Amino acid sequence: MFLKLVKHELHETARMLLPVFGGLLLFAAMARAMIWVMEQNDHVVLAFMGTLFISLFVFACIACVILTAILMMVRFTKSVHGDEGYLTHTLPVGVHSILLSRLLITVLSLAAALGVTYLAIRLCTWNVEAMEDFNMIFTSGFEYLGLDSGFLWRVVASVFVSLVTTVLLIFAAISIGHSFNRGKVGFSILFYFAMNTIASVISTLLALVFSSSFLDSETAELSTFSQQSFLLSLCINLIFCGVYYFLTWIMTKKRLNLS
Amino acid sequence: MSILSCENLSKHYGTVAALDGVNLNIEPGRIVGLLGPNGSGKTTLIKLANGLLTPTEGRILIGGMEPGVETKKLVSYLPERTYLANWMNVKQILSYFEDFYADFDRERAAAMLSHLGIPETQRIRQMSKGTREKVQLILVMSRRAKLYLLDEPIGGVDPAARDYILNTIIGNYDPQAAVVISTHLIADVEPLLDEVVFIQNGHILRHTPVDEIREQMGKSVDALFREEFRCF
Repeated sequence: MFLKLVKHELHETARMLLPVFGGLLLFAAMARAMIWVMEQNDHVVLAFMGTLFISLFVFACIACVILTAILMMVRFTKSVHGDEGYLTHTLPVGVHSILLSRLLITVLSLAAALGVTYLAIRLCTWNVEAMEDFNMIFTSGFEYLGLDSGFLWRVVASVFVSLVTTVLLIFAAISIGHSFNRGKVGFSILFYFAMNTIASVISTLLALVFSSSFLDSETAELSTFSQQSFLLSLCINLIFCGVYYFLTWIMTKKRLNLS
Repeated sequence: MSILSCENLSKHYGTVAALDGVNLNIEPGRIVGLLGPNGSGKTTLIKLANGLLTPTEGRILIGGMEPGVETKKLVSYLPERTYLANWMNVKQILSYFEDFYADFDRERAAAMLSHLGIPETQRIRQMSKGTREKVQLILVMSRRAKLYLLDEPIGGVDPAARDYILNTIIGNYDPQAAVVISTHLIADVEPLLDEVVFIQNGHILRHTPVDEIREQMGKSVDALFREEFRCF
């Protein structure tokens, strides 16, 4: 049943997001064409239009990720706490299956949005000399700092866990907000900021305690610090994931408030 | 064994009791009218049976089980709101029901839709309110469920559509299953009913066979309802 939920959720999400992703890639191709025209001609009007077009492309890249996030949140709200919830919650599936299928597809959609944005940037800057120089500087800097591929994987893992934590925080805020009879959206936003603030305070306090204890130790090394701070951040995020998931589950299971 | 059983069931919203100490048993093979004025607790009772709400006190059992994944396989529920996604077409909705409900009879649903002249390519957003309600009812009645819970199935449709809906209910339910119809349009549903449950302010006032009302009291259900719920 979980896989069936995932299948239907994927279908619905693809219907919403494929036009957005396709539009961004098309925009990237047009931006690349504009750069090529600018490279071939030295006209001031073309330069102005090209700069404007590329600025719009940068804006579109940011908008793609934000729009994906908004669409996924709306999808969660409508299908779990809106009228569609009458069908969702009377399917012969458990609440965990419903929530995990939404979580999986939302995280995948956001990862896809980031991936498509990266592809769009690569497409827009393909064979552009200035970007090749930038890539070289980036790679050299990476080597200069002595950062290995393990560091890169830790960054990827951190981004992934942070993404899951953020999605669960939003799910929890929506679930709590929709347990109220009035002002459901307003309460959802309020609880998002409240929980986010509490989480930030706790994370900052733990990071301060960790940093001071690390700096006090006699064998302090940058690579060890990097590894340990990564582990600490991972643990904190995983604990927050658990708390947010529990809140989402308990509110959906015990305090569901469909109109 | 009762297909639906409430034992001292209460549901409170803050300090307001939507249901208060309800005891009720619905047997298989019966069509039961859950009748009461607005705000009497009908929808709350149906939502509790579907696991959409959690009781404050007491318990509700479906086929001897508390609401959960297993009871959702037995219950076919028609809420008073349209729960179908606007972007879906009829074919996609049929596939959705077929995927999740093992007892869904797609051929029966397709035949009823065809009878109404609703093409499978039509999207929900292209339908009128009445057509959406008919599609939803067809989906619900195309399941071979043990318990049908229909919340205001004729509330928002014209009299001709009401006849179609009532004929669909009577023509498609499994005689071994129970049907609970919540409504305040009593005159329309009266010919279908075997039993009535009168509910007010979260209390069950009466649970009586319709024949008893007609034969012993010499009244119609509609007349008795108007008498018992008269507004002074």
